Amino acid sequence: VIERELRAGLDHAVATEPPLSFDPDALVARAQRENRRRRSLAGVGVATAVIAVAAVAVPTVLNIDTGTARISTAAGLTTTPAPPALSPGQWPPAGVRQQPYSVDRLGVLAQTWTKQIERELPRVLPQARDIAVQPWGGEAEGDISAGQGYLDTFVTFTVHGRATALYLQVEEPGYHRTSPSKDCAQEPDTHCWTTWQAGGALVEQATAVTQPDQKQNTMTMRQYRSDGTVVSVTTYNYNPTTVAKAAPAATTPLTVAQLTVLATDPVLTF
Amino acid sequence: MQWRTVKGGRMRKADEDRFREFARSQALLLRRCAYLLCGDWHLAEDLVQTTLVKLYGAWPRIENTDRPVSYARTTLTRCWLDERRRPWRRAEERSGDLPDTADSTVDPALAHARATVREELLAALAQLPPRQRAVLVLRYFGGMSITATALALSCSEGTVKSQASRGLDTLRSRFVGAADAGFALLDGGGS
Repeated sequence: VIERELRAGLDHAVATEPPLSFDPDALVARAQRENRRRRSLAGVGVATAVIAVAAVAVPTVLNIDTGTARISTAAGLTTTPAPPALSPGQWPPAGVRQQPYSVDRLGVLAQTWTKQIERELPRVLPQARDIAVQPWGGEAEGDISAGQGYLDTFVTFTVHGRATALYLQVEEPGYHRTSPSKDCAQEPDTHCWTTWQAGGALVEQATAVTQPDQKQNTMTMRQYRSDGTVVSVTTYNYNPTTVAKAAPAATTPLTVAQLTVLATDPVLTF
Repeated sequence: MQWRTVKGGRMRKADEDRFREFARSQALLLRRCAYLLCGDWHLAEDLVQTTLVKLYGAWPRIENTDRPVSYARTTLTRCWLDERRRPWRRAEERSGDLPDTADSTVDPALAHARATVREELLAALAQLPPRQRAVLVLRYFGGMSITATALALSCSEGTVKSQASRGLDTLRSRFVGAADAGFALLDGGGS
């Protein structure tokens, strides 16, 4: 099936449905009861969490117990002025066009980047063990097609026996079509900071998601280079490569500074 | 910068009214999404209720965002994944399925063909690993972006793309031949 047919198939799969036995008032009453029960179990009347956000302190934000399901967005969005050569609202930079790379060329790049990560990650994160760069790919792991415009992979490793991974994505000039400012604005559940530099822009994105019994943090450093290349590196306080449910660590294994070293590595380029 | 969130506090009447309206307007759509995930109308309705109860607790925080629907779908997906992880989870069988109702305006042969394809599609979805199925439902039924789907499933955008690719491959391999023609019927053909 192709995507369009799947959409039609899913729509038709729910076309014949039983009537909804749903009473909003009963639902609200149930929700109030459960809220009361939770409060009484917690042994406190009202728990208040205050989140103080320093404009450039992503790790600090991630270490704060917010008591919320998600940290909200707008408060964390800050930008600095773009250098004259680049416009904050425009990406890719003027004149940049995507080149169609062959599978062979992409394969060579993947090999080069794998060696580079194997060399650099132990230097950047000395406590990392069992480092394994997974096959670079596109729509599927290890599956590269001509002209796909980007390569991505996971790098699995352990820190103090805890399994986790980095996600890396390198987009060729012209493939990434949205500006740093727009990318930040489109992510309402994240804290997002853009810092413009002579060589492009550095964007930090931090997301925290609290589930009933755990808090999952991710942090991404993305470099928008003035030649149009975009390199992203994401660290997780859990293992994103498995569905096994393990308690997340208190913090992500890599800091902003360590992510920056990886995201700005000049070898990671087309 | 500073803001304040009160967890577990009583909701204001106006907020509660807006939540009630949101629940009323979204319940049906959420149940359809839940049905495609779990394959059972009764369980789908339970999942929607659980989702909305969770949403109620977070409502003062999310109602002013521009994506409460996306938030609801995310919560629903996680409720379903949690349900699947439970050892006592209900076996997946589409006991809540209703037979097609007769429609005198539709050619019986066409209606039969559609029903067959629908059954095959649901059966094929049920064979997919949970996260692959969730990716296909959120992306192709819910119309969620790769980024939003990644957030819903707490994974990377690359994983969403990989899972979608694998899920589509699996469905494609199951729908070679006769059922392909049936999909063409669903895709706007012959009503």
